Amino acid sequence: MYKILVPFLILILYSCTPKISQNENLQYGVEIDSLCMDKEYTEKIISVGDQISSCPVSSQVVVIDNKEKYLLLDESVIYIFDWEKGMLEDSILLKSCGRLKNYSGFRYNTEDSILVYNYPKKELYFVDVQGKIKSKWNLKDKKNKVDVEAINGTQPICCKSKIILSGAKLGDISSVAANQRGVSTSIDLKNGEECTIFSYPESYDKSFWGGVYMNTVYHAYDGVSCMFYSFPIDHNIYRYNVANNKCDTIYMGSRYTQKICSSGASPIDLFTDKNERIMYYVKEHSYGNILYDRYRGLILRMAEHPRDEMNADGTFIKPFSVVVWDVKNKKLSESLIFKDHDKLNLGNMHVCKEGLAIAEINKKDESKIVFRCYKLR
Amino acid sequence: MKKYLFIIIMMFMVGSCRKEEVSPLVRLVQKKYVERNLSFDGKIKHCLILPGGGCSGCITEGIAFLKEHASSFSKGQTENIVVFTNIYSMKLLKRSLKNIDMLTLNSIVDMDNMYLVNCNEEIYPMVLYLDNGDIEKVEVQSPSKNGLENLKRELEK
Repeated sequence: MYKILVPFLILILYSCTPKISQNENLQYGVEIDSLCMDKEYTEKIISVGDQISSCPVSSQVVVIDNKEKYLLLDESVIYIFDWEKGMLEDSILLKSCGRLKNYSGFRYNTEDSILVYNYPKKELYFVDVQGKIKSKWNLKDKKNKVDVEAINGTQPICCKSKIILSGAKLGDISSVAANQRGVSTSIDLKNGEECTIFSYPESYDKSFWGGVYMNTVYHAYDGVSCMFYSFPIDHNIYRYNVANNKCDTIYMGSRYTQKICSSGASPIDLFTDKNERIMYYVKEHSYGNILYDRYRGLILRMAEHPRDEMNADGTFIKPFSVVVWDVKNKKLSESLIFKDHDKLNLGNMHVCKEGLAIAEINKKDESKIVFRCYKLR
Repeated sequence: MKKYLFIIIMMFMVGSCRKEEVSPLVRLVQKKYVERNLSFDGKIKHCLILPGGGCSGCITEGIAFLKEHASSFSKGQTENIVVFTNIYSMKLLKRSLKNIDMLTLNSIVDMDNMYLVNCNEEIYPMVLYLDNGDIEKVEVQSPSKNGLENLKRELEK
């Protein structure tokens, strides 16, 4: 009896333990150019005063009348600052779009075309600079359930008469049916049709990746017809051409990242234990935000590197480097690892004429946002 | 018959003598606060912990509750205290309190997140019920639990 029972029990226990899989970086350690970014930086200061938020989750650097402006969304107002002088110049009242909380966000295209997404209401608006609604879509009951987040990293994009929206899913992606794995959806401006245009890549099939932080999706737009998608566990990025629905991959792995391992814990354990959930992400390599640099034709991707512990106050920003792909010359480069990562807010970073601007974290003086501008070649 | 009656009475007595079970959340908060050398004055009965980030609807309810019961948490009294923790931005916190000056509250501004317990419930406003400085009960205000309603009843007693 025992001869049958014991191997049977071992088999059951073994099958209950999640398998750890690894995404190997086949080009790990390859010598690549590291001179894409200057180590030195200049400062840009945006004076937000004593009322406007200094830590917006949705903001943008945009050229209006040949001048760079910094736009930020705070509650139901988009504030417009001069990027050079840092002074408040104008604002767009969005009261018609309701209370814009949580993962609500915007994207300024032209003065007649500003996309605003109300996260609690799951409503998307096209407004003009007067804040007047020109079109409106309710995404609450749509079939293609993408939980849209319109904050920095996945701002709504208007491309080729389509609106592109993205958002992550929580939990074990490998156990989700293929037709429910969408991360990006498009709305056709001509007929209002909505369809999923991009789903989690195959790298998520292998195993369980912690269910939260490693499931994040980031997208960027080249201003013409291509969307770029970056996923934390994938060494490649994905280029999706909205004009012809074609997709290809571009290798943008970090030279410091040998492999990314899945979580060995069970989904239930990680769901119930917040600490374990965070520590898996903190101790593992991953990739973060992706930006497109129209001035120089570059794709910038954040590569996040492990750390041993969280900070005492529970924060856990990881050291990072910037992987750069020169689209035209097909040349890959990567910066050194930033050691002062705890001082930088990767949720508020933008490409400007000068290079890459990353906001500093400064809880002591909330009257201004200080950006470090790193020159890009 | 008498024998069974005796057994039932004995069982009832033993059952009623059992100390009320302490919830895992209470144990966790107690443990974390001991580790961090946090203690409460013996006079404090209720401690309302309001995180700056997490369940935004629940936190909004917590802030609204504080505004409504600001006098119960005023500096002039010693039974109730409010702790602001996990503060993303002092500016946004002050803005959310609107007309209430933080200086008029019996409050702790916890910039180091000492009062933030590392658990899934930390995203919700929390109410600690205290007796002589000991944490007796912990309730949260979440989409499924209405800890603030119970606190309201306590404050109105």
